[in-house]
Amino acid sequence: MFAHALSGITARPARLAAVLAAIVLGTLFLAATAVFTATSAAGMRLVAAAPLTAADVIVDRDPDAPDPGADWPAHVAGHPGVTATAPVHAATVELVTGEARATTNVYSVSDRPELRWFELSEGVWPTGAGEVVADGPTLESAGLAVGDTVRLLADGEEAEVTVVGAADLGFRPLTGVVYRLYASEDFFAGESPQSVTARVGAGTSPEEAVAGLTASLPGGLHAMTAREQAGLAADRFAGGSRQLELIMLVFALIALLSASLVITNTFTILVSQRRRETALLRLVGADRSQVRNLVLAEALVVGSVGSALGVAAGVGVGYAGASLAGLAGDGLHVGVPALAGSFLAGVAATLCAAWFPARGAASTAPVEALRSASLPGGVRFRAVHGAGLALAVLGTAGTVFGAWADDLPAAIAGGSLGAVGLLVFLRYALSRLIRAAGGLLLRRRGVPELAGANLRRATGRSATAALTLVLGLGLITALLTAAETGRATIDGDLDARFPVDVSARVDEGSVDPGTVDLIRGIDGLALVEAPRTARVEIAGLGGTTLVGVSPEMARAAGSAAVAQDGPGPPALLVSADQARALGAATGDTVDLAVDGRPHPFTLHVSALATVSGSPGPVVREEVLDSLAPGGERGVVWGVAADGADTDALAGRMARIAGADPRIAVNGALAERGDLTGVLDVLVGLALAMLLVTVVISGLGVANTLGLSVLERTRELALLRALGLTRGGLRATLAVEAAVIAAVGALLGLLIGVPYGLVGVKAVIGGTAPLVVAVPWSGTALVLAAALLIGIAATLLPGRRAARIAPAQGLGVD
Amino acid sequence: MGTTDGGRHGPALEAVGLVKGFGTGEAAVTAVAGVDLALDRGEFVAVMGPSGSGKSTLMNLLAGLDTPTSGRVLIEGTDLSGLDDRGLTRLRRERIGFVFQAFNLVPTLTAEQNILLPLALAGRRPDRALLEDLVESLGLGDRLRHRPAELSGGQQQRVAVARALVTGPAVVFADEPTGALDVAAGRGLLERLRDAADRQGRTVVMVTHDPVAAAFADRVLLLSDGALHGVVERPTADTVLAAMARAEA
Repeated sequence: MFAHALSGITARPARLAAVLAAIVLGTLFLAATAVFTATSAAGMRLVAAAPLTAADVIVDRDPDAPDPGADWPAHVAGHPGVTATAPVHAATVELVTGEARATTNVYSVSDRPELRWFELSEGVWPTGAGEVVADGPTLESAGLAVGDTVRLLADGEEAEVTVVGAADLGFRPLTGVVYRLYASEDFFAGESPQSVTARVGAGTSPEEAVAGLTASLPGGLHAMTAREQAGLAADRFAGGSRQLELIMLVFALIALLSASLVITNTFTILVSQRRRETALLRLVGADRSQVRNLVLAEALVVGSVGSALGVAAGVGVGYAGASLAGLAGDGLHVGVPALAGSFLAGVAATLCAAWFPARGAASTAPVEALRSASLPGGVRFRAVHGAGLALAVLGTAGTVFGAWADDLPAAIAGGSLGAVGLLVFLRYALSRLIRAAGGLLLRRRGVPELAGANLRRATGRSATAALTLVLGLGLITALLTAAETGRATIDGDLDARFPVDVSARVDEGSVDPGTVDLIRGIDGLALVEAPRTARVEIAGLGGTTLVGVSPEMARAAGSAAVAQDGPGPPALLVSADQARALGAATGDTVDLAVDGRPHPFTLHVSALATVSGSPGPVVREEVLDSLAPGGERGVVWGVAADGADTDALAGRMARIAGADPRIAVNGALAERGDLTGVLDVLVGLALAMLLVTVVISGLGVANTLGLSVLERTRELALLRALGLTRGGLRATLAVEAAVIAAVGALLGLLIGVPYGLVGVKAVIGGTAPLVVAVPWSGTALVLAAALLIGIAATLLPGRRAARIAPAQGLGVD
Repeated sequence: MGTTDGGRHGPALEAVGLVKGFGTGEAAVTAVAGVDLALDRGEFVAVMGPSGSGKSTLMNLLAGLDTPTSGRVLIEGTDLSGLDDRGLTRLRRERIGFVFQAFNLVPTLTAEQNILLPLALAGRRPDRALLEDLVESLGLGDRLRHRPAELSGGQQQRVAVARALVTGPAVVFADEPTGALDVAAGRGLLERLRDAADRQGRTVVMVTHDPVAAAFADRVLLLSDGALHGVVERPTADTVLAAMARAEA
């Protein structure tokens, strides 16, 4: 039996090439995910544990307990058996160079060589409070070199330090763009360290030292071996990567599902092509289970070979991915159970996919060996399609309900159910659509007529091929829509929270006129103004900075109340907290004592009153002049032009802030960059992973056409004999492929856009008003891609068809 | 082996009141309209008749490939109507052989694998002596490693005969076995079938419309409109032609 299956495969290996390719891609993805995960987790553990490599014991200070004082490390150093100790400090400061300023972490590095955990690639170790070393990436991205002097700002204090060396940390994973500096213990003089690392002498084990320290140390100090602590740190570090693993796993499973569809289709076509051969087997005495097992044995062989290849390639791809991400520091890590799981998943997917075709083969009647072969038909509406439709409707209803009721689990459950229902129902719907499209083509003479007739006769397999496209393109569309809508929603939310895009403020006096000019000079800012400010005492609010803006700035910042000089008391913009403190709401008229003199105002709650980072009520400039005359201009506000490059704006602002350490920068720019940056990375990653699914579906379309060409050799030869040119033959195939691709892409768009919208709504929930944005350019790309896939899919089958000689139509089969 | 001793004494193949109709109402067609026959062990009969006379339907019914509207078919005393799909499959595998006009062999298997296919499906070891005897008498000795595409039409058909005989069946059904062969190859094939009936005691049922082929049989059954319209005993090509002319008149 098995030999027969093998002979079937070796006799016509090309027919199973698509199955093999699909299963290789699917398992490759799974195995690559497993290897990437294991390798990067090990790499990250290495990073997390690195600072502890030189220590034997670590003592932590309980952050909630009372500070035991800056000299608490002496308790540890005085313990018998401990030979050396080093305090561990960390601080977050602003690094200011001539170019820019950025958040920077400063860590302590031990003054004792035996407790240092990295080497220097250049320069010397820091001594005293005025010297630091930096790691390579920090030096590179901050544009610094050994010998340079930088300023560090922390809590209003400023220090100047010299970079005296470059640290060689081995490797550093993508843990964000935070700069790292390492300073000597003197830099942190007078501060109570978070931890103390210690080495123990020969004759004392770390465990003994921990036991001794635990007995003798005062409360609030906890000793632990360095190895134990390294394990804990690594676990904390790895926890953050779980979500990424999960996302990758989901996309790998989607790719595998798509591969399964391609496999089902291929086997269905193969089984129908071998119908007479199968009937012959039944005739000479094969029972149903033997016929079924024959197909399954073939699937087992192909699935095993494909899965083995996929897993082997996946190890390489996964390791390459981890290396590219800079996470492969601990070398290749391969989880044998995970790889075995990937292999088995690939084999199981192939077998499951071949199950229905195998059952179809088993139902072949022996008498069909004596008749001429019948052609496969379409998809009849069966109970399972009705159930799929019902499930799709129910699931969609659940998702919509979940999205609008802010119930994320309900939305996810509904979405998953709906997707399953759609997958089941869509094959029928696609079959009808392709039939209808074929019917339209039949009205034309010539090539479209031939293509239409052929589409109509095997709508079932065309439907399955199109279904894989719907899966891939639909997910891409959903993702693009979600990203676009998410971005628009974030922008809308930021516009509401930050009426101005750029805000710079000084705590006292005026912003340096040079800095104001620099901000004015930024391209992409439509309006820049340095409004007048004055420190005033307002009854009920205490001392605060009052800002007086021009009507133009008020209008640009979306504050109509201040922009219009209507009748009644002048408008006063306050924060929501301030309005509460005053016991008033928007629109109320209040009498407030400003610097002791009462004035009537119309109160408005506005985000403009908090845009500078601290609450500052806003009035029109002439109102401020009448309340508190003066010449102080303590803030600068800028509003970006529509469509301005926000990344470039943010970069320019960072440089200006670097040059003028007195100003504090706020505004939408900073936050927008962070949020949309994360979004872009996630979407890019997901799109790259979905590409695998699209490639698999392209394979499926090509395979469907290719096998149909094989099947129709006689018919195509007859057409050639009757005068159809090679070009005409290719054109017929191209039209067929285009119809399948177009139907698949259109349904993908039709389903993907609402799914994406509902998905974003479900995630954002009520935290911000949803701004719907359809990614038109992305949609056009999806359509173009589908067409490209269709054309590419006809290349090989077209060549094969063109090789058919007209005389082949006359022979006996 | 699935045979019973009782079966060896009765007719190898028996049909009682066999009727097969297709469709209902105005479109109803009776393809086989009441056929009774009993064939002994080692008997070789030819079934003849014009197109649409019900030859193929009759053969399908006799071989258990189709179920009659009424009537029964018995092979070695076993009533086919009492068998489920598994039982029918087993019967085909062990007691029936098939040879037909075209597409007789599995293209991906060698000649030897094709011959042994029924035994492989049954999980039985081939009887080497019987196989060698078959292969030698059919002149296939040097062709066993070839695939069907590498064999001539006559050779392919001889492989099919070997496959039909390798299980030692009670009945061999042959549907136009010489239809695609040249005269010499056709004659050789018919001699093999004759030989199988005479020497091995196989009952052979052959559907044909060639009077020369029919002349190799012991009896010719003339079928017309689904019913038997005459029998030619010890036929020659001439007597068959004359009988056919009478039947059509």
